[in-house]
Formats: sequence, C-alpha cells, structure tokens
Amino acid sequence: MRHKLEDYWHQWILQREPKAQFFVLNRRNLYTFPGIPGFIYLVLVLILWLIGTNYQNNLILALAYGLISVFVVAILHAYANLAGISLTILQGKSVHVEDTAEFTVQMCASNKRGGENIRCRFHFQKSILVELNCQQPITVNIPMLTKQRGWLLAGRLLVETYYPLGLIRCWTWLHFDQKILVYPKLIDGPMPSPSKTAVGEMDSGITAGGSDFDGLREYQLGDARKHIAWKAVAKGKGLFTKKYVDEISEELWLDFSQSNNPIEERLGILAYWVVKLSETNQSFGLQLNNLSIPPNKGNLHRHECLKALALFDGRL
Amino acid sequence: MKIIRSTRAEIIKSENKPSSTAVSVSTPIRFDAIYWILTAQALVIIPLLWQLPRWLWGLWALAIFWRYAAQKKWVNPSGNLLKWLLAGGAIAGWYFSFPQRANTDAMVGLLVMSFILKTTECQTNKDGLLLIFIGFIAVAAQFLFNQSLASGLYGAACLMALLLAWQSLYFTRERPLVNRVSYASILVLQALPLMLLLFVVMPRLTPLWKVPMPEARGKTGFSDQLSPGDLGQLVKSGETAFRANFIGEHPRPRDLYWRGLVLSEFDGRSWRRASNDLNIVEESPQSFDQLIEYSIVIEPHNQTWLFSLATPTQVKGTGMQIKKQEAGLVAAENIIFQRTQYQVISARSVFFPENSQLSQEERQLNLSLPKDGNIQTRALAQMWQKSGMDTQQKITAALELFNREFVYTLSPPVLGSEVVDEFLFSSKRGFCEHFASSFTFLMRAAGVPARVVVGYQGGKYNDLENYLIVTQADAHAWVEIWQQGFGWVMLDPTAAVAPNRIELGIDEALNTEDRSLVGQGVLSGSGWWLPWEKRWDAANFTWQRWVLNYDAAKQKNVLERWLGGSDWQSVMKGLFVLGVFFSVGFALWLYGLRKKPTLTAEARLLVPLYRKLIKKGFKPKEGESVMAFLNRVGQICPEYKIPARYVAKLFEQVVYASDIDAMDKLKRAAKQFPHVVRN
Repeated sequence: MRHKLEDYWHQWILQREPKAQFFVLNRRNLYTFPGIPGFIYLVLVLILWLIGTNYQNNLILALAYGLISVFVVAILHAYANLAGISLTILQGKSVHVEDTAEFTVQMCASNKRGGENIRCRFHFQKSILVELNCQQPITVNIPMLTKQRGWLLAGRLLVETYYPLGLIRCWTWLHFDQKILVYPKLIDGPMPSPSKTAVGEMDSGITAGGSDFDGLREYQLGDARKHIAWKAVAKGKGLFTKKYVDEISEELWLDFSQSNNPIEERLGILAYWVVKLSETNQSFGLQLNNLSIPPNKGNLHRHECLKALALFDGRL
Repeated sequence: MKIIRSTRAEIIKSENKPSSTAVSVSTPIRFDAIYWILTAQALVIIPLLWQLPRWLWGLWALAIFWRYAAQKKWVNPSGNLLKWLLAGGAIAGWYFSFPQRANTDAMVGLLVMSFILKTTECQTNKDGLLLIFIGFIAVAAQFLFNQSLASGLYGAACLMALLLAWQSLYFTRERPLVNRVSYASILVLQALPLMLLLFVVMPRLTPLWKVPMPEARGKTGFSDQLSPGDLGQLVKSGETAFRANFIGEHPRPRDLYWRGLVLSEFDGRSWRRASNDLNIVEESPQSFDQLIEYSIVIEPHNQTWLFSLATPTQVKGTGMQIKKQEAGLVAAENIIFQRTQYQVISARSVFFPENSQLSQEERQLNLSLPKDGNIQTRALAQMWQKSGMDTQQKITAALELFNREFVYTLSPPVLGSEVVDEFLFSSKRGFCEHFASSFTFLMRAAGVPARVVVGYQGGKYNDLENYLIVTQADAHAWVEIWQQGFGWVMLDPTAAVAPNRIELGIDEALNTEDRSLVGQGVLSGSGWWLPWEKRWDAANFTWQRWVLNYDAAKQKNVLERWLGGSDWQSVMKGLFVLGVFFSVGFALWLYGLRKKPTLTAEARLLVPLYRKLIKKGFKPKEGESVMAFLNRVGQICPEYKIPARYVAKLFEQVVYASDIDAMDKLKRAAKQFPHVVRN
C-alpha cells in the first residue's frame, strides 16, 4: 500500500519535472511540509496556548503566538535554503558490481545565503551532507550501491534540508538522466583461454603465458635498453639481452565458452583477467559467444572488453 | 546584514549509515550545540529553582558534572548505573518534596527536574530538540510565577538563548557568535509582526477548565485582624500594594481613603471581621453623586479582598470575577496570586432615605464590646452618654481629647492587657490603629454604632504615566460611624492628631527618628536615580495595562477602533486589507531586486572603484566587461593606465584562477585607486 502510494507520488513528481541533466530548484519542484519534530512542536504550542488560556496569562499566550510565528517563518527559511540551487549531473566513473558507484553532481547556490545543511541521496541509498556558499560551484559524489552489471541509472535523487530549526522539511526528488556502466564483479579463477592444442599451429613450446623471463641471448643493436641484463654486465660477462616469451608468443584470447561455470561467474573471471592483463599491458582478445574483440591493449580496449562483459546478454 | 562565511564551499561528511526512506533526525549532537543548550538551560531554570526545593540545585550541579565527566570520557555517556541512580534519586526526591502531587508547584518541579535529567541523556539532535522544547515550557512556567516587565524581558532573553541553541543544532558546522546572533535576530524580527498580529486579534477565551493556581510567596499586606502594632510593622515594608489610574480629575488627598476591610468584632485587643454567617441586609443608597472612575492594578497579596474608594457602585475585573460585598467592599472570587487589574466607579456622596435604619443585628454587632475590661474608657463614654450629648457632640468630644495631648508615632510603648485604657489615659502615644481602635471603643461605649476600617491612605503620583502608586507604607486604619440620614460616615481620628498624615503622607507626619522606620517604597527616595525609578515604574504600569491586561474587553475596544468592529467579518476584512498591503509591498520589493542583478563577490569588490570612476566622468557602457572598461579608462586617461591595468590583472586572477590571495589585494587596490600600493 505504502509502496503504491509512493509510486504514485513519484509518478506525479516526474510529470511535473521530467528527466533532465540539469535542474534549478524553485517553487515548481520544491516541497515543504512539517517533519515529525514539527508536529510535536505544534502540539507543544497548543499546550502552551491552553496553559495561557486557563491561567489567563497573557505572557504565555504571547509565547505561544510567538512560537507559531517562528514556525511560519521557518517554512520560508527552509524553502529559501534550497531555492535557487542549480544541480548538474556529470559523467560518473564506471565501477564493478558491489562497489559503490558515485554520481558526480555539480551544485551551485545562486542566492546570497548559499545553502546550509543540505542532505543528498539517491532512493534507498546513503546520504551525504552538503554546505554551499554563494555562487561557488562544488562537485559532490553521491554514492549508490551496485547490485548487478549493466547500466546503472541515476534515477531519483533526494535533496532535502531541515534547516533552520528542524521543524520543516523542504525537499525535492530530481529524476536525473544519467547512467553509469557497472562491470561484472571480479572473480579470481583460472584463465579461460584456449589450450595450445586447441589453437593448433602453435608448437614453439612457449606458453602464451605472459611476460615471463625466458633466458638470455647475445645483445644485438636495436634491443631495448631496459631489456639488457645489467646484472650480467656487472659480473663482466658482456652484453646480453633478456628474452621474454610474449615477444615471440602468438595472440592471446580470452574465451567465454571455455568453461561450464554459471554465466555470471564466467563473466566475473573474464573481467578479472581483462583487468589483470591490462595491468601488465599485455595484448589480448575477447571471444564472447558471437561477439569477438580482436587482440589489443590499452585503456580503451580494456573498457571495450569490460563493457561487452557488462552488457552481455546470456540469452543470445 | 553581512554574514561571514568561509571562503570554501565544502562537503562536510558522508554518512556511513544507510538511510531508508524514513528520514532520520538522529545525527549525533555537536559539542557547541550542547554548550549552547546548557547555557540556555541555566538561564531558564535559575529563576524557577528559587521557587522550588533546594535539593534541585544539587541535582542540577550533579547533572552538569556528569555531562563534564562524559565529555572527559570518565564515564560512559550512553547508559550507565550512575545516570539511572541520579534519575531514581530525583524522582524519589520529587515524590517526598511535593506532598500534594497535583498542584502547580509540583508540576513545575517535575518539569525542571526532567529538564535537568534530560541533559544527561543527550546524544543526538533529537534529544537536543526535545531539550529546547522543554525549555519553552519552562519559560512559560517562569511567566506563571511572575509577569512583571522585568521578568518579561528576562523571559525574552531566555527565549533568545533557546533560539540560539536551537539553531546550532541545524547549522552544518560551528559558527561564530556574531553570525548566529544575526541569524537568530533575522528570524525573530520576521516572526515578530505575525506574533503581534496574533496577540491582538486571536480571540481571548475564558478558562476552558479549572486549574490549580500557583501560590504567591512571602507577600506582605493586611491580615483580616488588627492588633496594636500590626500596621506599625506593615508600614516598614516599602513594597508596592497597588497602582491606580484615574479617569478624569485626580481626587484630593483627603479623599484617597482606600477601603480594604471592615472590622467589627473586638475581643479587647484585636479587631476582626464579623463572621460570615451573620446575615446582614444593608439598605442600599438611594442615589449617588460625585463619581470617581479609576482602574487599579493590584500586586499579589494572597487574599481575596480588594481596595476601593468611598462607595463603589460598579466593579469589573480583568481576567477574574470580582464582586461587591456588604459594607461597600469589593472582593475577588479567588485569591490574588498574580498582578491583577480591576475597574471601579465609586460615589463620593451617597444619599439614603431619611428614615433608613440599621438592622437590629447590625446595630448589635456594631455596638458590641467585650463584657469587661477598659473600665476607665467605659466610664468616660458613659459620662458623655448621661450628659445627653448627641452623636455629633460625642465625636467632637473624642476628637478634642485626641487633639489635646496625643502623639502620633511609629514606635509607641508596648501596651498591656487593658489596651484602650492604657493608651487613652497613660501612654497617649500611638499609631493610626491605636487611634482608630480606641475611638471606635469610645463610640460603642457611648452608644454610637461604629466600626474600624483598614486599608491605605494617600499614595504618590507618577506624572510620567499619570497614575498613583500606593505602597505598604501608606497602610492606614480609620473609623466609620453610623449617622441617621447619612449612613456610615468616615472619620479619621489620626487626622485630628497628625493632619499632615492625610494631606502630605506618612513621611511628613512623623518625626525624623520614626521616618527612618518607614519602608522606602518606589518613588519615595530622593537620589539621582529617582527619575529612572519613575520611568521604570511607569513602564511597568504601561506593561501591566496594555500587555498583561489585554483581555477580551480591551481587544474589543482595540478592534473597534482600528477595524470598525470586533466581529469576525471585520477582522477578516482587516486581515485581507493587511494581506493585500503586504503582498503589494513584497511584490514591489521583488521587482526592485530583479532590476538590480546580484553581483558576484568579486564584482562587489569593484563597487568603490566604479563609484570613483563614475564620479570622474567614466561611464561603463552597456554590456562592457570589467576588463574592457578598465582598458578604456587607461586609454582615455594615461595617468590611470598603470593602476587600471593592475586592478584588471588582479580581477583576472580572482575570476579565472580562483586566487584567494588576489581577492584581498583586489579589495585594497579597488579602495586605494588610483594609488597603487604593492606589498
């Protein structure tokens, strides 16, 4: 019942204020209503009024009227605290499942007062506390827990304040049009690459394993300096060059079909190796059912692979 | 008002606790907020603690010490045995200190106690908020005990402190005092008009149900019996009894006999009120003349009787029921525990029918004397009676007796058992109660119905607000005598001895030695502070009349004067007009704001520079940037070239490089332009 009401409420808000990447808080999208302390306060004022009336005590009556007036003024102050603030959502960084994604929002108060004690959070997420000064934009990272891979939509951001007296809650729900790509969770496992026999022509005896040291050979002009075996030089044995396997190895492929694990686990292991191989700057390709990404290295390649894994639809 | 803020915008913290849809207010309370709450609490409860059992001071000290210990991490702030012991002890203490647990004192005690105990249980903002709320009720409790101008101002200070504490709960972080006070003041100033409006127009209701009234403490005043020496004690107090405001001319001093009580029973030493079961039907006067209209603001005296002049014909209380009683007295329905106002119209002359008679019972009451004692006085009176003197002659004889060799003094010798005889025939020195008492005795013994009246005589005018202030030093006793055709006639034997007492006041009637014994009331001193004292008392009186006594009747008057009617339609009409007025004002203000775009912080620094340049004849063009303008100034006037370029460079640094140091330099350069002071 409650959820249904809430859904209606959010539907209604969305109608008034459609999805966007930029919002300015104003009377169209700000709502004010007393919080629980506000209602307790109203009861308190009523009690004071009753005491004042029953004892025919004008000072207590004046106190009750004064407190009611403060309540009314607090409504305006709570509204003014948020009114005029502009929010722009920026591109967020991708994360892996179960990490906390952070949507970056730039906030700026246009009024002289700035904004005091503002709380921002996504629906059902942790909140952060923000203080704004006049016309000084700041960027805040608003966290959102990730539960599954794929596109994480920003959705409804709550911006609320109880300033100045905690009686009145002024808030808004902003439906931000922004998304973050969530990569699969990293799972440590054996490399899902085809065995050498499977690949066929490779019989050089060199495993397509990585950057392992494979021995020394005599130095030739043009060899990279960092590959010179300086220890051997120091021992007076002359110039030698370290041999690395990948220099002569064949292409390395990560293949989805290499294991019979559940889909998500396989994707996790693939993601793990994508990250691991990228860290050591190796070239690799990714075979994902009928999608194949040719071997390459670098950040862009890594992102492309992870994106493919994140958006992989197992039903195809 | 400029509000200082830190130059950086910042994100304070992100909370690790996931919050659900329900909004949690339970952020942990900051230290500065706790200090503010404790300060406000001290201000609020100190006046209440004076009225309550002494051990509450101890409880307060313990609670503060506990708080300190918790801060120092000597004790665990959340839940430990010590705290519960404190709470348990306090509840037990309350249970035994207030045997009647339903009266106002007990309730206020409970309130203060919980206010104090709550400070030991204050971890989150929610707790802080609750403390503030209790604080507001405690301020109301202050007003319950005392509503004077001073306590009103003190209460306002308490409220301000509470507001400051309250605000500190909802600031993102600690702020300097100036800052907080300015915020709170803005809030108060904005709330004030609405509060005044509500105070003036909200309907005043009569009490919805009966509540236990708090007792006024230690108030001086009359009791309902009069023994020799009682008034002599009373006049030593300088406390104010009441203030009276006359509508129309001031009565002459000799008309200022404020009647309070009529004492008709004499036991040989003390005069008492006649017991209530005597069913006395008084003949009411035929007609009145020479009316005096006045209102009185009486100080609490814990009794029901009120004071009035001559014969009251109409009485009306403010916020309480008052009624006329037999013997031309006025009394309130309940005891007077707080300052109260009432209005009276009195008649100085009353006319009785020619043949009016005292009822048998009343005649008997006012002639009764103890069976024996005071033989000499009785003998004298009987001699007058036998010689066939009429009432008037007997009075004259008695007054002549007093006039001959009696002395009016505040320190008469102590009298033995034969009070009247000793006074009349040996000591011959006395204060007004001695004269009144012995005069009445003489008259009764001589067959003339007579009674003693106690009250006040005279008073001092405060010309600032045109009211009369009557203090306990004006306490007085006199006599009333029944005369055929005139009714009860007032007679003051003291006037025969010391006429100055009546015309000039008690200070003038006494010798210097005695004068020092008389209580120094308001306006009786002569120091440099007298004008201030006068002003303060006048402010108090105005406060009483316009704030404390603003009741349904006054409200009706005010509304009729300002709105032309006190019915709800008129009030609505008035509010509507007021609303339209304010809306138009607000709209105009907003329009003014829109025309003047708000400047950025950097641009504001350039305002003095622009003013200077405009005065010199340079005018910024529409849409011209700061740089372009300064550049143009430099080109037109070569001597400004260097300073203009300097300012432009600084401005650039501030705007594009967000250089905070450059901001200060820019501020200085703009002020000192065209002089360039580099440092």
